[in-house]
Amino acid sequence: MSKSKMSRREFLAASAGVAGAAILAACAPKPTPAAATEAPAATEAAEATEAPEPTVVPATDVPEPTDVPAMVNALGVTLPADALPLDQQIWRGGFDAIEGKYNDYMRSVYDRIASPWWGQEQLLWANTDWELQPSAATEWSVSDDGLTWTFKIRDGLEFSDGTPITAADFEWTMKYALSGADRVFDFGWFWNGTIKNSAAAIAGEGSAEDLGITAVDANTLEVTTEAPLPYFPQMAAMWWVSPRHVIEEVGEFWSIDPATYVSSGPWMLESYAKGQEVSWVLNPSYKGSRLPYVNRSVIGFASSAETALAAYLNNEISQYSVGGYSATASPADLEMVANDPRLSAEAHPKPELVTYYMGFNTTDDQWPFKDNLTLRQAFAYALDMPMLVGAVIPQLAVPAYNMLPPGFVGSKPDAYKDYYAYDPDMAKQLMADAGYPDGAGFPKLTIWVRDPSAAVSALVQAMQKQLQDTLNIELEIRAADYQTFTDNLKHEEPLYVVPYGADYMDQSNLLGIWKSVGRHPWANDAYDAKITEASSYLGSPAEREAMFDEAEKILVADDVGAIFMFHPLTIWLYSANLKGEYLEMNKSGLFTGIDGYLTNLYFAEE
Amino acid sequence: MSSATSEAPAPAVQFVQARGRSGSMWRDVFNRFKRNKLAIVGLALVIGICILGFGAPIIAPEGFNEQDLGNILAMPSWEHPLGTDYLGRDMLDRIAYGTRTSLIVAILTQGVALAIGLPLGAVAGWRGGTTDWFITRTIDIFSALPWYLIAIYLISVIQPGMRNIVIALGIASWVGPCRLVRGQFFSLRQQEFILSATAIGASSSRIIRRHAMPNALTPIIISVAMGIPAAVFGEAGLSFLGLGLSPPTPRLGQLVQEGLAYFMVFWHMVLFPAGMIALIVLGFTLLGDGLRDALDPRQTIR
Amino acid sequence: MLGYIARRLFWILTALLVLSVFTFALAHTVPGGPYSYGEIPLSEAQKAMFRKQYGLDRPLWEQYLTFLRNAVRLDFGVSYQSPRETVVEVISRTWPVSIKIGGIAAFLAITLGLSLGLLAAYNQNTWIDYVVTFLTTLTITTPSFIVAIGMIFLFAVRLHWLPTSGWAGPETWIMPILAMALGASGYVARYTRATALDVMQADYVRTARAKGLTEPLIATRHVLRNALIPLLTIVLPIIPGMMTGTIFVESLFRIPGLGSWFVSSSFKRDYPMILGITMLWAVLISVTYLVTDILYAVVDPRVRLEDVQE
Repeated sequence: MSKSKMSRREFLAASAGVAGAAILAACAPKPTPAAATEAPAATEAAEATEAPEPTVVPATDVPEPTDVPAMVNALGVTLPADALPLDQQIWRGGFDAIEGKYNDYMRSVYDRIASPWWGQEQLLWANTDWELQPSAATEWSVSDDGLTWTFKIRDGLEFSDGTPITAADFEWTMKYALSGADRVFDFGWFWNGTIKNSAAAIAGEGSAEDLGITAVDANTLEVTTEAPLPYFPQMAAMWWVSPRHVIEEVGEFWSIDPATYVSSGPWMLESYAKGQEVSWVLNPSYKGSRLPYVNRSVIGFASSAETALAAYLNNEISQYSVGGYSATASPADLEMVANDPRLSAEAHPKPELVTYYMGFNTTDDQWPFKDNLTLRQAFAYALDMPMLVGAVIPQLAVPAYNMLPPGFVGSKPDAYKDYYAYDPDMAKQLMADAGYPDGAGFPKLTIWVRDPSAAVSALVQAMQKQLQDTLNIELEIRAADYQTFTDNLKHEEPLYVVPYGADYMDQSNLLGIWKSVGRHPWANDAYDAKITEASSYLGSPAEREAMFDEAEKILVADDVGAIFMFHPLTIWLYSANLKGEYLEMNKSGLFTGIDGYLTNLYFAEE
Repeated sequence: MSSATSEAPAPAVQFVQARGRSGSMWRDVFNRFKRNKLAIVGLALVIGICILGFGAPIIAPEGFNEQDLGNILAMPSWEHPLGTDYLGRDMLDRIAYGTRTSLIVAILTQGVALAIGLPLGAVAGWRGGTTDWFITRTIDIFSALPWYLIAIYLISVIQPGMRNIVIALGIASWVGPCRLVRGQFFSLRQQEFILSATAIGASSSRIIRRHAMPNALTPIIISVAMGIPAAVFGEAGLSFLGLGLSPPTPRLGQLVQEGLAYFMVFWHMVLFPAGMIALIVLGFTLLGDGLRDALDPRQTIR
Repeated sequence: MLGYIARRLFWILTALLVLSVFTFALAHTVPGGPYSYGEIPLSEAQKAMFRKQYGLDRPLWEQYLTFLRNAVRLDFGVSYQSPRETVVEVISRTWPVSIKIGGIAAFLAITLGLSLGLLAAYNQNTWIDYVVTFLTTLTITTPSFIVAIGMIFLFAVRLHWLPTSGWAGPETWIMPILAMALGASGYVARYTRATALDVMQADYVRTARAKGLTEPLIATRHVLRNALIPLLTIVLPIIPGMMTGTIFVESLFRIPGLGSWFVSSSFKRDYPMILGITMLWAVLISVTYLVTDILYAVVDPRVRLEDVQE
């Protein structure tokens, strides 16, 4: 050993000499520069005059603030007294934003460009406490049998080209999304089996006309569901409107070109340069209820997260968050925040309603997990998730014991702590019982991981090691891009690591995705029945919750569909001069981040 | 296309007339090499790199995946001279194994490149005519291939793993040696000593074995010495795009890429593997230069 | 000479044809397709619908013939990733950006490399030589993405001199150009030094020196001129690589050039774009080699193109 130490020292000296100087200089911690706390300069990204895209409008084209003492933005909203001038009310976000090819949320959710809903009015919305609020629909009610929902649409709504928005537009949009005639809405599965005849429409079998959606008159939208769905209004918060007249004329790519873009939301597409940025200005014809203060919004795209934090530190973006659904935060980010007074002051931890898990493929014959509960239990006992999460991504995640994350309705992590608590002896015993004594005869399997961040990759490697060491088996890891992962999910992936995040506040969401709808190669008839029953249950909420609890117990404990790994945290960073009610804690004392339309948010004098 | 460029002898590559004096020739080469300080440094580096890489199982008998979750992201210390990574794995162990994997990838890549490039180039240069025409056209097509596209396809979409990395890099790198060898043989055939050997009735295979091959050896050696750092770089580039071997098997490019997420605080995660890449490139480049100078008799003038 | 060029151009076309078959086959044998997946695997019916929509349901040879028919008219179809633009439009929009950045970088790399190389050669084995060698070695041995990230942290995060990325004024060009040029300039400098040293020991230079010609005259008339020949083979191929955009540099600095399309069109199964880029690249490389060979003959009258070609 002493010999190897000798060579290590020599090696250290040699390598430090060659390439060290520049990089060391770049990462030596330095005191925060004084300039860091200044407002984001309004000069940089705005004047992309050299770019070949002619559509980028210089910031100076934004209406100048007038001499009136109160500042009023393009939507007619009066800004708070401490707000900076209008030309400085520019939101600069992104650098890690999603960039697909559709800018219409009712055309594509996964292949979208940043935040398409900014230019789309939604039926209802949920505030930071997940309470439903009126948006396009001012009131909503359900028939006595729980099957028919009636939404009253606000008067006077219009698209930015002056076309009125009526109940018929909401009807058409959902039918457009689900009908599946010549397109596939990649979020269609979310609605599958909810609205009457949606399953057939999505499968391409039924006609759009059969869908249980009717615009009774301009102000009345009626939706019939397959079964009573008491949470349906929660889902309706994910029902936006798209401009029928434009789509029928221009086609499905109307939304990425400012020339053909027509907005129904508070924002209007100003420019879009692929790979560069998308910019939005306020839509002066907007008559709805979601009113932002900020006057313009620019979202930059970048393929690497490394440059995003750099851009935030260089005051190029207003807000930067690390962590979240993709669990992008690393211990380095924590350390960085802790060591930097500016970042410490600007950092806000945000728990996410997201669960990461490693699922078993129990539906394909070629994998040993099918019809072998004992084997799945052996895996569950072999992993000490709380220890691994605490050691590998400390303070960046909460260990998961079950599907419903803490803070979600009906979440009971404590009830699952004792199931499959780490017990290597039990794991070995069960492994033998499952037909693989001391791992003998167990095939070499691959853990597929969808598009892993550094943190997820680290944790999965730790899990791989613990499983191998405890069960004496061999496992491989394959990091796959989204498409490859999804395409292989059903048959080729014995073990798969994937997250899911809450869309709305009801167990039917996070537990419903585990029904046999194709998202997981795990099927349990009792579970499906229980979820279906509970989802439509109109009796007492306590009884309904108990039914969901039963179902979750099947998934987590009785049938072991997956090993639940962790719930990620997000570190939000935003500049000290950013103010607004959504930056405060919600009723549960949690910071939930800015509102989806950037409302109530402004840059203030310090 | 691309022909005149390769026919003209590269300036530093000159012909050695191997007329049964090979013993003294190699002695001369060795003496010239010995006098070149940079070449010695290069050789020392390469030897060190190989010891580190191929001695990895001795340096790290427990392998490259020995995790110590209580000691993650530790800075360099006596116990862990290069620090530890995000799972508390010793960075020196990881770099040693990474060097090993990267070297194997590079050597296999060069193997593939030579296995394809040498015979094709030799045949093309020696035979000329239709054969040469056909092979030259193949070279043209392959050199016009945007190989990153192919690499991404092979590695990301079909199957990640050593084999596909080597294939992807091999496809990209056989053209160089093939051109070199073809050019060498093409010129050699016109050389007086070959012409006279032919004139006195020596057989083609004998000429190739006794005269052409020893002469072509010089550019081949140099090409390999230069090709290895290129392959190490290529592998690093693929890793940066997120392609390559699956964790936890370390490769240098992958170590750098992984380290980027930790770079701003835990600089040792990037600096050391990047430094190792730099050392490999430096070592082989200096060695290649030294070999070229030593194998080139005209350099003795200096 | 003209006949030679015509013949070469003919072979370039042949090579393009073969290459297009190869790329087409490769792209289309890969699983997956240009459709959005989301969370749930598509059903066979949905996949079939998409294939039909993109014309991927027809036999491969038929698809290829369609491609070929259109490609002859320079119509490569519509990019799947950027569906409002044809491939040719994407290229004509993004390529000028890469040409601009890459052209400046190539110019910088070549001038810097040539001067440093000559400087080192003329001061062989002095401290100048060692400093140049050390610097060029450093740039060669460091991958460009490391250089780029290092510069971002130094100039943007620590010093706040330059924006981290983007494509606006000249201040956004500095770092990407440097990241591209440094490594290449190292190569050029090393080769320049080596070839210049070779030439300097050549008989004609020694003769020139013996004749009493001044050193600057020797440098320009003999050394540089003769060193140029082998240098062309190193220098010229740098240019198409840079002018099509370095993948790493363009993606790190968010430059709206062609480089990032190389990667994204593979990942997104953007077949029209893959073929368009491959053809563009092939033409560029082929033409570069042709130009190199012609220049070769121009610079060195002893080289006769016809002799070496067939």
